[in-house]
Amino acid sequence: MTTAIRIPIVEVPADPRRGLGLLEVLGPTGKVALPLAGVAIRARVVDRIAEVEVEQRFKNGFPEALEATYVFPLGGAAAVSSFEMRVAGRTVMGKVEEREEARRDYAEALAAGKRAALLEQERNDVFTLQVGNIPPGEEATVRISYAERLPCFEDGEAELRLPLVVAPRYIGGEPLERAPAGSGTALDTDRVPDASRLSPPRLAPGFDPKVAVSVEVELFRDSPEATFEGLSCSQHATRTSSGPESIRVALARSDEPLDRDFVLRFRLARKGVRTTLLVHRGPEESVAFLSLIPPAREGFLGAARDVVFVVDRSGSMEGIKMVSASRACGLLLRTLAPRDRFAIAAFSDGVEWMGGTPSFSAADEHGQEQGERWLREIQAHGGTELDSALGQALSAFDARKDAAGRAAVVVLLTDGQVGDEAGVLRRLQRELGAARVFCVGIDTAVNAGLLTRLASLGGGTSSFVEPGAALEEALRSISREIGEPLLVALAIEDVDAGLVASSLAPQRLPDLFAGRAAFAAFRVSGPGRVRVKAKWNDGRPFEEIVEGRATPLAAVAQIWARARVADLEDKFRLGESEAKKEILTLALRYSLLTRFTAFVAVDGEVVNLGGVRRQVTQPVAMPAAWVDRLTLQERMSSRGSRGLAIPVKGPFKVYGMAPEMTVAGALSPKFSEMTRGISEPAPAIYAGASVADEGGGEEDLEAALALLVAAMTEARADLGAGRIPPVEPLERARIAVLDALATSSAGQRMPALQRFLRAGLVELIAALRSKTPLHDVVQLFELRAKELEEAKREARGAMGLTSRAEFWEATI
Amino acid sequence: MRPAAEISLSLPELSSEVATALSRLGLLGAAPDARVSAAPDARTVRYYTTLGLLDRPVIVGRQARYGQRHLLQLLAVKTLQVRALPLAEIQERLYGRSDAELGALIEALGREAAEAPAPEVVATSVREVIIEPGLRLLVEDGYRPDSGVEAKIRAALAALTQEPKRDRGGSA
Repeated sequence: MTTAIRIPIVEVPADPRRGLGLLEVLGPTGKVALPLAGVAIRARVVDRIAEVEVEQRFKNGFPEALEATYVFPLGGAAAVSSFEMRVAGRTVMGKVEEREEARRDYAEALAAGKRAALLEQERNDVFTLQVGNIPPGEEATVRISYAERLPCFEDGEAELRLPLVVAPRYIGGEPLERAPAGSGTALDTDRVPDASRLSPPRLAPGFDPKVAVSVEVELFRDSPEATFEGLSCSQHATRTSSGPESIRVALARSDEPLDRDFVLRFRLARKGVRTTLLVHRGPEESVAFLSLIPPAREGFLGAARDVVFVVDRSGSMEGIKMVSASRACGLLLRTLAPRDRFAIAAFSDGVEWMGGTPSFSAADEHGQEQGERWLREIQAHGGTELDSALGQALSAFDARKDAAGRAAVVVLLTDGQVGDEAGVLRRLQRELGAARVFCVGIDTAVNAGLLTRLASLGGGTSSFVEPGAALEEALRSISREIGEPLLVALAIEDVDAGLVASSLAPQRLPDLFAGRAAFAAFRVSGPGRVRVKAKWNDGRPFEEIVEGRATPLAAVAQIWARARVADLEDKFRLGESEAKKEILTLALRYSLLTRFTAFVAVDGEVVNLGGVRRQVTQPVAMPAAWVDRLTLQERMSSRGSRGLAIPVKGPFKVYGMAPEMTVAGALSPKFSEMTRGISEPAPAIYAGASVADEGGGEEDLEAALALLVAAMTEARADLGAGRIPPVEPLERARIAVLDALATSSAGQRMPALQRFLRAGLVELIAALRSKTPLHDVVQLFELRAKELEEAKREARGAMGLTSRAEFWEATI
Repeated sequence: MRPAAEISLSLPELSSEVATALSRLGLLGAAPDARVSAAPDARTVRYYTTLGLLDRPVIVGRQARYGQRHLLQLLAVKTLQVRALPLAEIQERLYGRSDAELGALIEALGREAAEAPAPEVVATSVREVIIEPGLRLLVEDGYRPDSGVEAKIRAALAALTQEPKRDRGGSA
């Protein structure tokens, strides 16, 4: 098959004026000053609790007032409890409000020409900051404070992770036809309705945004004889200085790109790290924080294990991350014993099992070799359908033979970069069964928030390694843990501390793995003792009495409240809707940022009465070590494949390459043509309702509904005048709405409307056609009109999502 | 250009609008590397979107639709690419720009191009042979495809692609 085309060949004479200098002549079209000017992070670590202060400085380099948006990460279990904005030499304290209220206050302040800032939480570790009405040339600085407990081990090792960039997340599902919920670059989909809030624009390779970056960590000794050992910052060059009470670690350079987590590991060497109970006495109540280290037990041997390794081989893993994941999996496989069995599944868009089916092989020498060979050949590309991969891994245990007495274990190796975290967590909560899930996070900017939660819901542990790092060392602890815990059935009882049993968080206390500290927090009436009870793996009882120690760390209370919120979120995800009220109560009381609350700060001065402002979303770096195939593709793509339509069908990829291309011509579905013709004359009865301000993609459905309402109104007028109305307008409107519903995902959330269109209205039209007596028609009409009212109310709710508090529920 | 806020283009329509505007500005094919000014394809458009150089499209009936601002944005990118600027530099110049600023920039660059000596245009006819979706041969006018070369190429390609392929996970 051949087609003749004409391509003009252009010969260009050498232009002596060409060169970079030329562009400087363009005057107003010079370089753009990005809003974010500086990020300064200070962390204090005392008793393995970190108190972190993040300062972000924004500068307006535009000729009009600026509204800057910045999507950024904080520690995965961060309890964000304070927010302030500094403008024009003043400090404005932010306050926690219900999220919708805070968003409204912020929007109103901006409309009134005042400077304001809004901080929202999108995921455990993803946040959005908006600072508005910064006058030209002026700066605005926000300060965010949070507390986090550090994972730690019996040898005193602990890990502080300060994430610096939100990595691209895989977004599955069908794009929605409505105005986007955020300012990011991904389209919201039915599976990730807030994808546009998780996808900040990326800096092109080579673009230095010139953000001044400083990170300073101060590690305090908890006793004079304690010393720090094995201080290592795996991804950054640092300077270390030692004082009498503490050690300071700071970034060696101030021009580090914000493209990877700052990870500091250290060991507080002291003879035998012990279980501790910290008690903070607040003005109204005291909160205790228990850090529980299981006693050493030599020669512990749990049950034989059936291990499913689930290896992420999606496109985002390409390059050194994939190599590291394969090697890490091989190393963990080598730690299994011949009596153990294993299976390996690699997933991207689909799941591929070693050997073709989810069956278990013996982890003997032969099996391990076979597994390693298979792992070496995994190549990365495709989406990250973690949800379904996890489902398949869990169901592999149901199909196995000789399962009696064998522990079911899933080991997930991934960067965790997905947008539908709620779906993944819900899947685990529902389908976990008797299995335990362990996570090995592999990335320079890993999704620690998801993997930590996943492991804790899965009754396992999570560990993180940086790609290319010394894997053997990094995997040491997790290889010991994979399998059965040392101590189970943990319970904490009061001796004389006045423990409030209902306040225990997490509510389901964790099992204890050899060498790793577990945590619990609860309210007490004051310092005192508690009794820790548990069972050894072989059923023998374990008991220890722990003496409380007073601490000035107010962060203890925030960590407790955050742990409570995490518990409530788990309940909410499974449909316990009352949990939302409890989350709100806790968040407002402890000034805590959650999915249902936000911080807002409003300055009193009016600086932008005209209301004109430039909205700029800060572009962020691609994470280090990610293979930026986008760039590669950009270099190769100018071969001009013209006439290709972009098929907007899922799964949509954030970093996805190789779009499925379709031939041009499959454009404008008949529906658009149709509504364009008929929507204009229709009176905007419905469009004037609350949905109108959302605008955007649902216009067609709105227009069709308006048509339907108009037809019903006319029909009622006819009936009132004693005439049987014509059926054509009703029929036409019915088809228009049905068509609009078919192409809009919102249709799934409108069962009442669907019922009305497919039953009630059909009956009414039939009655009008069959010359039913006027009196009966009027009765039937009023019945149906009521149905339509209900359908309208429902439709109003299903559209214009982001203006409603319920929208955020899907993100938990 | 058409009146603002009225246009709703599919990607191919957007591409051809850009091409038309470029040639009107005298910029089409004016690049040192003639590939640059070719109209953008789906991947490139998606990449520009992730860089924030191009706003997200509006979704109507599962189709991406583009409007006036998209046209301006793409035109601005292309006019700078004609200057052989790397993408980072282009982003640094265009990020967060208003419609008015983009318009001014395109106009300024267009004026410059108009002042420059007009490139000599030689039109050549070529024939396109589609070997398989995504792979095309450009055949010069006058060359007769019945020489059997086409069949040989197909056979060679078939032999090359007969490797074992385990990692066919899908796209992206």
